[in-house]
Amino acid sequence: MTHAERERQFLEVFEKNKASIRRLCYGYLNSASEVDDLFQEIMTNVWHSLPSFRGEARISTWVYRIAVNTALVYRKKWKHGEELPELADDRCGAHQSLEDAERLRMLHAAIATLPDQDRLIVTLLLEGLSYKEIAEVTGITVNYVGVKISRIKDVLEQLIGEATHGRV
Amino acid sequence: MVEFDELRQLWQKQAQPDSALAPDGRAMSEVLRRFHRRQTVINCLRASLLLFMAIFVPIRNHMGPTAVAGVALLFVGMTIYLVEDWRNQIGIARLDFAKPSAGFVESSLLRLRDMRYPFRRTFWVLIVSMVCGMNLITWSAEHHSTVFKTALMHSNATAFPFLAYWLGVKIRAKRFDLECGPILEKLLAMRQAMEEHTV
Repeated sequence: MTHAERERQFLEVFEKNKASIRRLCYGYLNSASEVDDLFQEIMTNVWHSLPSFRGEARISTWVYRIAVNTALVYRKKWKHGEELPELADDRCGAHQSLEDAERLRMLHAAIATLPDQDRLIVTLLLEGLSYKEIAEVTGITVNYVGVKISRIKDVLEQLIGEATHGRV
Repeated sequence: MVEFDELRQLWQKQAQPDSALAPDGRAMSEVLRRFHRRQTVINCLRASLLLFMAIFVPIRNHMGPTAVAGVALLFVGMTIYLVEDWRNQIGIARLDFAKPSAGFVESSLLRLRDMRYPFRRTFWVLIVSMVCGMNLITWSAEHHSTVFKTALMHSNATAFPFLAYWLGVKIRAKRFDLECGPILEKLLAMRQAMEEHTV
């Protein structure tokens, strides 16, 4: 692969996937200040991995794999037991309602309570990946993806429900 | 009741705050190419310096054939070290992130183990070449020494590479535990969690 081809492919992958990968970073880290770091690490790994991509998987699945694996070994700057950083309030666009903004904030807070791998799985699901695609990214069986998602949804439902009733 | 489809739509519509480092693909690819070029230049300089020393030292010191053979063996040992170190640099930066997570965890654990003990495979070649090289140079430098002094010099020439290796391993292990310990723990925990459910 020549430098020019590599750069062209990288830019294509970058532009197509940057929004979804940044959302995945937010979902995983729940800290606006570290999203840029993780995003850059992910894209660095995409760059290094491009020469070995042989089209054995869809490019989006391949990028998600890199993103998930990079996130899993990413060293967060805050430690366990520390208070989670305040979420940014401007996660919703100006055209969205306050209610939507609040629901999104509750969703992020609920996701933040999950273990690392579960946070990534639910973020992939929210990005629209099917159970089969999530299994291809993570290397776990489709059945187990289903079991995990079912448990994750129960937890999210409980937490968001509690947060909603707490505000009523 | 939480409707997951609604949450999915909400999630995908969320705006992202402006970032001080707005994602710019072109700038990023340029930085990555520059870094790679710099690493390659540094490693080439190290190799060139080694080659220069291997040629310059014998000529400058008018070394005899025995000493030159010793220098050549040291050169072989240092070359092995440089090559393994170069592969190591590439190795950690290039954990196979493109594998499914379960395979990634396994291959990363192996790669990290290689990093902790980088000269496992080449240990004896490295040590033997260094020991023989130093002993040949010592032998060529002896001039009417006593038996005791000769034995002492050769003992030092033999012990030094082992000592240097042992010290190097200790320092490397400390640095490794500091830098990679948390990642290693995380990977081991993930492997355990995934063990029964991988494809």
